[in-house]
Amino acid sequence: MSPAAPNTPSLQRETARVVENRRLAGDQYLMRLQAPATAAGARPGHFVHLVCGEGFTLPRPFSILDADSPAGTLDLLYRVVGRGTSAMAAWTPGREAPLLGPAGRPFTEPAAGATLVLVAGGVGLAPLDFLARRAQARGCGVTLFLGTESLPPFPTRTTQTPLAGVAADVDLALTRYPEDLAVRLAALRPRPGFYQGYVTGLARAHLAALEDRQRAGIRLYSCGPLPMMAAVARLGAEFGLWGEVSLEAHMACGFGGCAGCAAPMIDGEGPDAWRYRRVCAEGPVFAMAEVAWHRFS
Amino acid sequence: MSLPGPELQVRLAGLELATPLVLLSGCVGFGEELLTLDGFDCAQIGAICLKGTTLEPRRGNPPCRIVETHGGMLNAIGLQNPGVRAVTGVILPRLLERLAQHPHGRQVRLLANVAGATVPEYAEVARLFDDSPVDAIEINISCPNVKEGGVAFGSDPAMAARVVAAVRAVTRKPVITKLSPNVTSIRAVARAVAEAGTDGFAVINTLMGLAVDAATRRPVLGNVTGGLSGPAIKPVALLKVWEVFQEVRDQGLPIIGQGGIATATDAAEFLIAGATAVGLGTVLFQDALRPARINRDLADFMARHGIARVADLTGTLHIG
Ligand SMILES: Cc1cc2nc3c(=O)[nH]c(=O)nc-3n(C[C@H](O)[C@H](O)[C@H](O)COP(=O)(O)OP(=O)(O)OC[C@H]3O[C@@H](n4cnc5c(N)ncnc54)[C@H](O)[C@@H]3O)c2cc1C
Ligand SMILES: Cc1cc2nc3c(=O)[nH]c(=O)nc-3n(C[C@H](O)[C@H](O)[C@H](O)COP(=O)(O)O)c2cc1C
Ligand code: FES
Repeated sequence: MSPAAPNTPSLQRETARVVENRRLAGDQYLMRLQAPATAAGARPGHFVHLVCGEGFTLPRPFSILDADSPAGTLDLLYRVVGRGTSAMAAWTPGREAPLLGPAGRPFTEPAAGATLVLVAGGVGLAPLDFLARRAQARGCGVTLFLGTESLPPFPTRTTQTPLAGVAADVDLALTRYPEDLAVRLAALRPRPGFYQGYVTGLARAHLAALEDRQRAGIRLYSCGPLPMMAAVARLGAEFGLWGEVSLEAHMACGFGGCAGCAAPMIDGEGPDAWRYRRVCAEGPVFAMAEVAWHRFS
Repeated sequence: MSLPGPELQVRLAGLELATPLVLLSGCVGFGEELLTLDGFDCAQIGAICLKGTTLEPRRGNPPCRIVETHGGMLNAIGLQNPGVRAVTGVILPRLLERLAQHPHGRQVRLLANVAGATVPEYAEVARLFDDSPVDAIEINISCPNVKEGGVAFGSDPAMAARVVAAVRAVTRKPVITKLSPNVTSIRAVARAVAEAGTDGFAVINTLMGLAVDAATRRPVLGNVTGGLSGPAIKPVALLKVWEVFQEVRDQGLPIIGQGGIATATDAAEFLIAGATAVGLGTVLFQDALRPARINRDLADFMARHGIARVADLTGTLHIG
């Protein structure tokens, strides 16, 4: 727990209503919730802490995939992994679910015209999708790399637009994004149109192929499994790029009250200069260079 | 004009609490976080117990620190805190300022929650809090998640009494001793700390538990063991409150009953078993605005049963 003041903007607790809940692909689902108070303040990187029903002591955290303030809706992209998400998958329109949000510290908004490279793993796509679309609307160049072992959550299409460092046959993109938002997919097993290997290998090939001048202004953002984010942080260090990650942690309160969601952060100089910070309050977004990657157990 | 409803105020160890609801240590940080929650109403709560505080900063336990269990949860935070000087020097002044800006914020009583690895550490932390704006000092001799101190002190009546006496000697503020259920006889511990000069009790802290990941055959929690809280522990907590009440009723020492309270009915049960006030912890994770509903329902309950004051419920369990 830090002596620093909590920086959550006015947090809301409201009873959301399911507008739509459908399976996208594999075990990935999209849920649209009517939650106007939360939607009004939602920014990329914020999450909601969702009560999954009676019989759950703890709510479950989900990044906001999209927020439509005029409509008062929020979208979540979630993967069924356990009890809470299984319950959610069965929800039908009209069902009510209390939530807390917009929670946490969102991504630092990139300057208009900046170039963003986003590296997502699985449903770690959710906050980066929101960021990508918002940033592009503000004139930023966006390249998104998604590593996924299951089917991509959104429909694919092929793209002819070349991308530096990426082979021409790695040509699958997602229909969700316009052509000028570059997307490439990666998977460990061979799949047509995918880069075969870790998504960070794909991102590295792209970054390495850029001229220094093109690379200099790039902002890296990442969300996904911890080892993937650690690898993205190493890429950032290798190329001297500033970046942010959205971390996961088991959460209880979601508002900074319990210190349950600890993640190790660098705090001063030297190998022992680190401390735990709260993912729900000081995060979930942290600067890559701030995370004490070597201290995760 | 409406008739005045039942009175929710209670008196606890010399403190006037606007309602019997106390937000529990470790569940609401240092009180600031909830103030950023839209709709949070300070008028609904009597007091806030601050996070367990030690002399020096503590990193706390490695993650995973929390896991949901049937009807409850295990936590093993490990008393992560910035140390008493950061609490009294930085956090408390800021908290008071924020409370002052919040409607009814000034009436919220603050309890420091004091922890330590040695008796002198408890005394030193308490002394530093004595010279701070907190209204009372809660002695945590019941934390199951730290290697030294904590429940090691709370499970031995003589050790518990030494801690309480040492704290008693350095503060004029009310002293509340938070008891552990992880003991053979909670009555023996209660008796010993009453003799050592405690002004009241908090009953109970969490019950020790273990969660196992069968797939990996590893403990789920980074600390291996943790403390169980939430509705699952309510029957145990009720029993312990009742036991302590029987031990100390003649001395008129109050109890903050806690352990799995989620509704006004739960709260009433604790009052009946002997509590003067009741604590809310784990329930806040689901619903941080629950205090308002509990007060409303408690007032309804009291009105229905013709009870004018919360204190009229305390210790009214009929046996036989
Ligand atoms: C800030 C944040 C944003 C998140 N955003 C998304 C998102 O957009 N989409 C999505 O599908 N998931 C997201 N998650 C993860 C999601 O919260 C968990 O998958 C969910 O809580 C699992 O609940 P369950 O009851 O189904 O699983 P449980 O039955 O509780 O557990 C099943 C498995 O999930 C793991 N798990 C449980 N809770 C968490 C957690 N909080 N973080 C990571 N793993 C966990 C457990 O270790 C276990 O292996 C996010 C987590 C955080 C902290
Ligand atoms: C995450 C968490 C952290 C806690 N930290 C402390 C603490 O620092 N000091 C303390 O005395 N009790 C601590 N407790 C215990 C609670 O204050 C309370 O006594 C217990 O959880 C029972 O109440 P509940 O079932 O309503 O949560 C903690 C409990 C939880 C769940
Ligand atoms: S989940 Fe409670 S502090 Fe983050």
